[in-house]
Amino acid sequence: MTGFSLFKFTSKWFFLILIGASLLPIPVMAHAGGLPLTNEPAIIPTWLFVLTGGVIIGISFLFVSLVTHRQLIDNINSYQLSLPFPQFLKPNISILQFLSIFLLIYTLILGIFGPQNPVSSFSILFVWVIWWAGYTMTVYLFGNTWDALNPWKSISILLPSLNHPYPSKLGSWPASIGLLFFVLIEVGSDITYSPYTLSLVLIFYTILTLMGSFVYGSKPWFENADPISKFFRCYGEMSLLTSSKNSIEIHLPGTKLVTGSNTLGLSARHEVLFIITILFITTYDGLISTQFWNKWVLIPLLSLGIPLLIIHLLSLIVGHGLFYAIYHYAIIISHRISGTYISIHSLNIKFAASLLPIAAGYHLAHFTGYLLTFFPAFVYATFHPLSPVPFHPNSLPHWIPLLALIFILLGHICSVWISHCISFKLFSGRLQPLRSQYPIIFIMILYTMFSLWIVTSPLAR
Amino acid sequence: MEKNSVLGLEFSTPRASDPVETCPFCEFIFRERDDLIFHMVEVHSHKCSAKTNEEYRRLSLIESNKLFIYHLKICSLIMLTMMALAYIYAFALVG
Repeated sequence: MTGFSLFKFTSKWFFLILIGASLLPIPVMAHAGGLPLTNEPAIIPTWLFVLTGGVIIGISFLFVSLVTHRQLIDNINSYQLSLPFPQFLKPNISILQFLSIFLLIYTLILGIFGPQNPVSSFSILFVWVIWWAGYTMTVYLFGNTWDALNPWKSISILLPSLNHPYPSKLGSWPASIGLLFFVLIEVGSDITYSPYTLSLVLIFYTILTLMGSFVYGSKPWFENADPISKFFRCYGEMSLLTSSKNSIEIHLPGTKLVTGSNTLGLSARHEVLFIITILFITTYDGLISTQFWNKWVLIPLLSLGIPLLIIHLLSLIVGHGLFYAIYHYAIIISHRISGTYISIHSLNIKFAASLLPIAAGYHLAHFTGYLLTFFPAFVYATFHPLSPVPFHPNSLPHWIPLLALIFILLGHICSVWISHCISFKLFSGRLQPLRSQYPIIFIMILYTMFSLWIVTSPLAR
Repeated sequence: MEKNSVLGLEFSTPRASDPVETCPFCEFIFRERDDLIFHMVEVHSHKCSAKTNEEYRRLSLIESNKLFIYHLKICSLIMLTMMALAYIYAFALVG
């Protein structure tokens, strides 16, 4: 079977399943604000809303396909606006490092001895609202500052090290497993609402990280094995800003991924797995909060007596494997359609970077409302760290859920463009790069529809 | 057959009997000569001979014609998709 007929065969079945699913008589109306804390019903049915998202991605690919002149693609990607950056505005790194270490210790202590009500706890609000939601946004929007601010790295530099060579076989596996483990703890324990548990996990992570950097040295550990550093480094490549000695350059998001000036150093399958992990965890976080998940997966499995943590562990392993399998399959078909001699392994690695904007868009969509809702509580907790207060969430403007959906679509459109540019870097001529994109765009359309279905699904109570 | 290129890409040819066109400047391998010509001029334009450039112009012209048809199909597909979506919206919202 040739690549193209294989693609046609697969797409035909996918579309049949999709149409079949959309015709199921489920009377669920779209909740454009299925995101946390919002549940205003939209006026169009879910299936139409989800279909529209898929169509937008498909049309964006068609429009992008009109850009086939290599010089034009290079000009678009190299477009940047330089702004002067006076020296006196540059922050003092030592002070910031000291501050980050202080914040780590302060968070740990308040988690153990401070108020245990999550919305009054500085530790909970700082870690989940400010750091995980807000700080991550600054990384993919403005650039990776984690290398400078990482408190564990700052401490490890001060400590002695055995400097054993980091095993190259391990690659990014510890980071991928660490990130999945982090999500497992997030969804399977009370870490998101128990300051005490959060502090215990932070202590565990601190010991593990400092031991790793003690054995292998600070640089190899934080470059390869530390999940958080690698997570921020990947997101940092998406940023709109790049700083040089005396200026700041504003450019299109993800330009560094296309021009090859990124610092990801993608060279092996485990690096691809890490990017897939980033994509998967953002989706999984949303999926498990839907009524669908609770009704059809969680409750039946719990009724069989399977512990919650095991359910999440199995779901993470199966879901992650499924994500990788779908991506890998799309690359195999792309390889066959294009008729290239570049190996599937290399294509796998080269196109993986184009998945990052999707993850960033989904993160932005998922956490914008969350950040805005809980930020006032964080401000209060900062000034009154030891006094618990009742929390009254602010009602968000009605356009916030719409903004979230726009972020998801923008992430996917950005991804379509990056994938298009990478294909023009890898393949010669103008038709071969376009044809190679069919399977990749196809899975992007499916994934967009899946993401939109998640954010429009009613939340589990 | 496995071969590593200077470009940091790994290449593989399915069978030893398959045709292989190798770029003389960077060891990039291709199935067809047309792809090789495109690659040579697009990536190593300053190193190419006049004959290669001439061949590139000829192939580009053929590809431009195919691309024109391809773009026409794309424009038609965009219009058809928009119309289909408009109809679906109309039926879904009225019905």
